[in-house]
Amino acid sequence: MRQISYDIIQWFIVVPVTLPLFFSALCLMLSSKYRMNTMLCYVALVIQIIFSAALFQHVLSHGIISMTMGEWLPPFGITFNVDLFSALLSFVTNCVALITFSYASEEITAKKREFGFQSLFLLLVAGANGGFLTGDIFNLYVWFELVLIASFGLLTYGGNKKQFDGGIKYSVLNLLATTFFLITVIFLYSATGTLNMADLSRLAQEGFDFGSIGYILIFSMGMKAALFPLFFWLPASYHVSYNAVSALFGGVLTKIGAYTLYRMYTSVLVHDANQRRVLLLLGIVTIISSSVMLLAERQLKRQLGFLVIIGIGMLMLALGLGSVTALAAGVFYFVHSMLVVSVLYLLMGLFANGELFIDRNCGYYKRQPLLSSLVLICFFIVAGLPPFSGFWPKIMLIQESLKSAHLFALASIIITSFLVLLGLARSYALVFWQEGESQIEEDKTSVFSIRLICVMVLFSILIVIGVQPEYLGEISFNIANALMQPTDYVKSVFDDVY
Amino acid sequence: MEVLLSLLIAVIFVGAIYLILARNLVRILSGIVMLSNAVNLLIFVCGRIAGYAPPIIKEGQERLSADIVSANPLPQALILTAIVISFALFCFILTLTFRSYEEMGTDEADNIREAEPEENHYIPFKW
Repeated sequence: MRQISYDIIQWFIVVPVTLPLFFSALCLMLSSKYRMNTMLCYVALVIQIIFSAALFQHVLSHGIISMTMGEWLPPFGITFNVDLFSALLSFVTNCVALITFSYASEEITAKKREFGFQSLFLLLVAGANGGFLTGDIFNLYVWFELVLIASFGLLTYGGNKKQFDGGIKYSVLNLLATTFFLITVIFLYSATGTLNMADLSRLAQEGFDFGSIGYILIFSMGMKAALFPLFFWLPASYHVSYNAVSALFGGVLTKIGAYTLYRMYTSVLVHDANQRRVLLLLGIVTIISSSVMLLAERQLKRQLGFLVIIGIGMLMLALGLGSVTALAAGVFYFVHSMLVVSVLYLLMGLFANGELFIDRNCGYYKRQPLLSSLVLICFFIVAGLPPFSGFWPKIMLIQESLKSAHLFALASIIITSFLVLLGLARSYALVFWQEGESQIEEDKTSVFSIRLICVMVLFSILIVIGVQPEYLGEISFNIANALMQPTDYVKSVFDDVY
Repeated sequence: MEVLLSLLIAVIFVGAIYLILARNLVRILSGIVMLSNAVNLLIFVCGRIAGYAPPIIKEGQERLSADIVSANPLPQALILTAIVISFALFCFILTLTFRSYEEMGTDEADNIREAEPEENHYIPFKW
């Protein structure tokens, strides 16, 4: 049997998964000591960021790295395969996780503390990183389930009626979605005899016809990532939990499903133009329908759920267009959407604990002018106004749909932007500007609270991306080029062997 | 054998989907259990039912001898993983349903409207 020798950097691949798993177990063992658990979780997340930044830097300078577990040569062993795309998403995920955890450690006050929050949080981070880094499709299913069970726990953490309701809808529908994803995985195995994504990609390059397996994938991932006819669980459940948890869910969870679709449709299911058209159509219908629903919603935190869905719809639209520029816009939008959705959920938590209704006018602008202006700028960012980060991927998508004469895509992007701006401007005017009769208890957020600092950090990252989009844009184009040429991805796995 | 199993899977799928479409949460949960079992069987069939000999390489040999048609070991590993995962998730959902029944006193999905209360408010269009 041949031995593979691995460099030290290749061992870094497993760290973003094993480290939080280890610390999660440690937290469980010390579950009676809440403060100690929080410290452990901070330590884990900081090390996590350092390692994933190192991984990203290495992949950026040296190209794709891969590692196959237990010296079972690929395609038999479980492969972890990190290209720039997975490294970028894993890095952003870890940053969002650290920020939302810091926010949660203040939001969950001493009275509300219960057993197990840190363990579940770390499990979710491990699962999300595993999903982004793995190169084995059955393994991806396992990470999905890990994320799912951790998110069930986090969503119902606190245990009030509203959370049980949201939790049931979330868990039943997501469990169904992952079951259908398992069916997809099994059909792929049945058709090809392999579960390794690089091996599947190699078969695809040799012209293997995967037939209509992709439609089951679109169904299952459409449910997980919240695409048009299947997204109703998301606005029904994401707003029930703590704002920090909602921010993490909105930022990370649905993106794993979108990432799976990106990965599969750029490296494996490449030949079927019809399926791409279906994705494009789903993207268009998703963004239009959810922006209309955003107009009809009266709770601000539930409106944010529709913004999450619009982000996913944009990603699918970019994938459906399928050219290099469109994919680059998609990758850019991934990062933008992860950050902006998180910051919005976190910001809402600073006002009346997120319970903002547009028919209860509170006149926040008069009392907290700076904080309210911050909300306005964040609304501008998510609506995609010019100097901010949402604008750049949108303009790339508009250019691309003009060039490829997809006029419906073009129209839908413009209509959606208009509707989102309209809806958010109305919400802002009613909730923040207009003063009404309804009294709310004074909830002064001090300037030095951890929560505000978390919001400011995410906000300044977004502003930097918006004003200086060249760096992220360049990386997005690199990633898009790599996605269009999956040969490197295949080679990195099989180079050691053949 | 494969045809028979496939028919069985189809029957279980039909039953599962019928149950999942119900309004009652307990029926939905039964549907989910049936569905995950149907998928486990599906994995088994998709791994091809070729032989019955255990895929164990005898000591001192490099590979299975050519005259043995062995069973495919991979689907069994996959099924084992899938069973464990679906069992754990099902336990959680069962507990969640029971707790929500205790809290809200109903297991009809239509009556559970805590997170999305029915609204008669008109959203103002001017300010």
